Amino acid sequence: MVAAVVISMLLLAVVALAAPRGKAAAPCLAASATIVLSAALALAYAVAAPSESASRIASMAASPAGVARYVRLDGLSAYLFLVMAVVNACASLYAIGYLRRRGPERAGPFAAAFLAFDASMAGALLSNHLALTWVFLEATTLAGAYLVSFERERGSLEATWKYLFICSIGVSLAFVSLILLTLAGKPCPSLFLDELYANASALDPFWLKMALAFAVAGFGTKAGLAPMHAWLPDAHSEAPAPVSAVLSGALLNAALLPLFRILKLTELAGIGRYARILLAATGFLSVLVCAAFALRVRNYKRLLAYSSVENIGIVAIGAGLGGIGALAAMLHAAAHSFSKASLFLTAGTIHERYHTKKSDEVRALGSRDPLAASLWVASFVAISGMPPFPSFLSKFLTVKSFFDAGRWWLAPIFLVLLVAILAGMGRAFLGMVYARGNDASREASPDRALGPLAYAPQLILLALLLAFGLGVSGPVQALVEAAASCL
Amino acid sequence: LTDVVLIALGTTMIFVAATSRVEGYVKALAAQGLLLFLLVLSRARELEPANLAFLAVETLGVKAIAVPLLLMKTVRRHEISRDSSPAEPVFWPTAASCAILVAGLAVGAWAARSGGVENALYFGASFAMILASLAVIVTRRKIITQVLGYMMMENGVFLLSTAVAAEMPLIVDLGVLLDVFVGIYVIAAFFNKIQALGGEGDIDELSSLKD
Repeated sequence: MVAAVVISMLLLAVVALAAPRGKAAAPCLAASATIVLSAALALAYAVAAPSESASRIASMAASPAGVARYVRLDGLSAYLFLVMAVVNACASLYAIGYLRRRGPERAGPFAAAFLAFDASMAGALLSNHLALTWVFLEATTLAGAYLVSFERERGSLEATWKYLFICSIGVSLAFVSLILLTLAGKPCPSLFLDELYANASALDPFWLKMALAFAVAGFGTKAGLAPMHAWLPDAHSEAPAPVSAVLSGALLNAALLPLFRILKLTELAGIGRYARILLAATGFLSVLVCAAFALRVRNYKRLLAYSSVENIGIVAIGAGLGGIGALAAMLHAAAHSFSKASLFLTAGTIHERYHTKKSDEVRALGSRDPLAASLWVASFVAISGMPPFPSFLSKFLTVKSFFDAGRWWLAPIFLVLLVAILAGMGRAFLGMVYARGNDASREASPDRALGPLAYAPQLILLALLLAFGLGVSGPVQALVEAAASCL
Repeated sequence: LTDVVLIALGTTMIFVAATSRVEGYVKALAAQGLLLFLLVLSRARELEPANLAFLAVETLGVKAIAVPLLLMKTVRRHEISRDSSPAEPVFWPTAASCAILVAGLAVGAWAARSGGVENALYFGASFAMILASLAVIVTRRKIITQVLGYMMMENGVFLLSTAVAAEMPLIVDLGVLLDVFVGIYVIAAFFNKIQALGGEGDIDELSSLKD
């Protein structure tokens, strides 16, 4: 089933590219989103609700027999795949509206690259072979480069260059980590996760530690962890809104996944402490970097991008601390993905209204587009860690895990950094909605209706966040716990 | 033969540090491709014939001829001659490159002592190439020299991957895939577009996005 999903997405990409004047772009995006979401729900059910039908789905997921070895279905992959599928479905919906407003020119190539990007992410998340995961992540870089450069403005070309170049270096370093992992496994090297986990105690600790260091540098670059995050603010802010949403809401999690796998491997090999400290320290540095920039960045999309660095940092801290922190990390991964996708999509709507990315130049959004303003504020509240949204619980559990790990002194520093980030984002985002000012862009071009697809995806994401925050129970709770147990 | 080739590969990085001529960089890249080809030949007995043929085409065809030719064409078309002014001293970059080579060899020797490594020089040379290339990427000012630094890093990664070529041919083939796709994509698709934005190809021109 997994192979069929990836192949069908690639076929849809070919159809979208081949159809004249981008006519197949919207149907292909919608079909792909439906297929991925259905598959993700089925796989999540198979993991979270053990039953006869669930085990049938699990065995179907790995069929045909030839690819069974290459598919990994566990709590972590099923959970992150579901998060990716939801973000992808909402971004695809928004993209359909975006392409309709933009016109048919290059709609086909956009949809094709978008689908190839999604197929690569799905492959990376569900692969049982680390080299295959690496190939899929490399493919996201190539497809993503076209998407980031889609607007073909000077800024987007510059951002694409940095994205392509820095991520390629990162991907090369990640490749070095795989070679070192192979050396660690001599004389019977393997990159299949199940074999690595089974033989973890026989791995050479020296090469495993080296592999981990290169993996943090390599996959960490792709995941946007500081100090390897230089490409992220540029690429996420210059890409079209639906692309920013999947880059931030789905790709960063997919890039973290191999790091989590290697983290688990080090744990099984008995050198987990070294790995956890490295990951948590990188995460903490990411939060620090965002705090340093949050108060001075005047571009609302760049601010969102820095916030991604922060939130991926929080996920890394949780995973690094372990225990209740692992649960916090998984909760936060979904909370961040949904709220950041909603914020980026709304930022796209705001950009279409105001034609500027400078937060100082967007004024009185509340009176000009009340629905966009409401979505903007609600998404900001969702990401800032206020109840009833799930990021409140995830951040609370992260703080608790500092105490559990005996590093209580990090908790106040972490909280001060979060408050600084909240202040910076709040000042910029709330100012855009409530501050009065000279609105030159409105006089230059009168507002036009953007259609329901400029708002509906964010409403879906916020509704899911609310439901997630108000009651994590039943199969959802089982899925989050299954994911956390893989860390 | 292997040891001589490995030392020669390490020396190319010192040459790169000592020169500021972009054409010199391209020639060093081509030399590295040729040396890697010799290295693959020296290990011919351990490799399967199909894998050996694939690696030979990759090293000689792509690394030693195609990529350097493409880059040389780009350099000449855009009339890029030097990365830095000839007046700038080359002592420190050269000294740093030598230090990286020594450090790389020390890591190799250390790894050999820890066990699991037959040839310390192999790892020393590849680590040194990767680190020295990263230094080139970080310190150079032209986009083209950064791309060249990236290609040299790729050569270092390739060198490391040939260490496991006999056990895991898949890994080496994937490395080749990385090389071909990213190399061509970076150089052909985007470098020319970025150059089309105007200017002299200095990295400082790509600073409109900052905080």
